[in-house]
Amino acid sequence: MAITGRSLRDAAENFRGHINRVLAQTVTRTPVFVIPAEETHRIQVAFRLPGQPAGPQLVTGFGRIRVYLGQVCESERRADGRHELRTVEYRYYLTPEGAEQPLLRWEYIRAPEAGALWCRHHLQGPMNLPLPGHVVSLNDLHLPTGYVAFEEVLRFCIVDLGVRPLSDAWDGILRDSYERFKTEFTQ
Amino acid sequence: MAPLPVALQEAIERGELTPEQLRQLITLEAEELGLTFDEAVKLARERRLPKTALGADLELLVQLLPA
Repeated sequence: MAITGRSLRDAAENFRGHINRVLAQTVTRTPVFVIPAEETHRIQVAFRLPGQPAGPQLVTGFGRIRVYLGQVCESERRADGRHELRTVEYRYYLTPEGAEQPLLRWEYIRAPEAGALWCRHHLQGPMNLPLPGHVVSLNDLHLPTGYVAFEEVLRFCIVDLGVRPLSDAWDGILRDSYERFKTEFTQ
Repeated sequence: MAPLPVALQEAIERGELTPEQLRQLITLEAEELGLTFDEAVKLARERRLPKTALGADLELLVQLLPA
């Protein structure tokens, strides 16, 4: 079974509800919102604070860091008539308080522009890599990552950045959600 | 970014934007970057918007438009 619904909007609501349940039990009660586009059979799911496309600031062991999660999914009509969502693009950004640009950007672009041959699942950020005789910014490279589920970003925030989880059951919640998306939500 | 018009904010909260409201949202986010709607769409499709949450959001919203 995949993330489906009777309509594009129904599938989107199922997805939104799932993400918000996971968020509320792990790192934030700030919800994501859905923007549907019936014309293209696509939806955007993203954090959207009043008036701005931004997520909440998380209190980490390294200060406050703002998180932005955004995805575009496309609905495919199955033989049984249900709408099934597939990821078209994602952006997961972590921006320390006061920084002008994100420190870490996980991105997926299913259909890059013509001539773009870089890894479609990649990580970038404004940090220099000391290569022999050169210093290269990670922003100028597309470090391969494979598909990154949003659950893994939340896990990184808790385990590595020290965000205090909102539930003692956070590990199981992220594991269950991750497994569900690995098996049910194709990309 | 300035507060969104009430009707647009309510539509986002309901998850029921019309195509016109989607274009309105893109226009407002584009203006925040000093761009017009057409400029933002072009730059988004070329992956040349600022690498910020606002730029990312615009790129994703443009993906909702017909090609």
